[in-house]
Amino acid sequence: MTEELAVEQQAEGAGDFAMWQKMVGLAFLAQGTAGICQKGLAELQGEYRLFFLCCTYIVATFLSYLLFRARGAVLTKAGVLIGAISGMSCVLSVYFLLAALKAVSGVVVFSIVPATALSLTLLAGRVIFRERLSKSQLAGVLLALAGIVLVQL
Amino acid sequence: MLYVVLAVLFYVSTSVTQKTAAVRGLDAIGVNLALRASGTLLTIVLLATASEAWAQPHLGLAGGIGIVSGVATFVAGYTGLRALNFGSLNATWSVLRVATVLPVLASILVWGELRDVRGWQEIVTKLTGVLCLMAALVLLGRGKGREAEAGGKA
Repeated sequence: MTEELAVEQQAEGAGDFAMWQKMVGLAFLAQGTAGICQKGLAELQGEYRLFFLCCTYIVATFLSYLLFRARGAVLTKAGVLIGAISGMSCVLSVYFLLAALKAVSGVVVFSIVPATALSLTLLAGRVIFRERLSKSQLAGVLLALAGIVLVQL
Repeated sequence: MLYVVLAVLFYVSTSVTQKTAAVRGLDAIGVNLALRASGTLLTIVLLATASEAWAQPHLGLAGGIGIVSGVATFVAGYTGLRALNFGSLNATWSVLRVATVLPVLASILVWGELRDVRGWQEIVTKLTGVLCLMAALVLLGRGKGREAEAGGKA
């Protein structure tokens, strides 16, 4: 009986791992595709940043709304306020990233921006939320600094 | 380089506000909808004031890339959240951060960005820098994953 249970649990664990691989693989590809789209847009002759962002956000809003309805999610006043600030920052972040892609190479922009931003977010978390930095995070910040110097050389 | 700095600053601002939402225990799907809706509103207002934006030669192609980007952004967020139901936040976060390697590779292979680099030493230096930054993303994500798992946010 216990053997059967162990086999069942093992199969369940393997199923979970396979599902995780599928989901994380899709997320990886989708995230990368979004970056490639930004690079592709920067290569076009002309100025399309606002039009591109508008199309991107309309589609993402529509799909997010469908998910919101399907999951019966809740939206409070605080959620709207924080989401609105976050949304505007997000738009401006991509807007300037697209501008940077016109002036600096994609290798530099796509390497430096996420690593620097994540390092600064952790430092902001330490100041604002009084969080402690782990050893791996500290090593990550130092490695990011080294990487920025090397990419810039 | 000013644009890179501004992109980083607004990226940090987005992360900090999302962190604030998580700390306050707000519904992630609801906050995400507000984020997308406010972004749409802002871009529509900005687009309405920029008349030259409509007089560009490849508007259709740019719109198509924008739609693909919108779908990709949504799929990345949704599947990333679903992955958390089946695996550790730590591993999921690390894999997602490293997805930035795809546009880096595309820049080199599709748009031939390293072709203009003068010597092989410069190519090696730049690629070592990129590898350092990717490794940094994994380490930074690992710490973040552990911290969230400890707080039971997954």
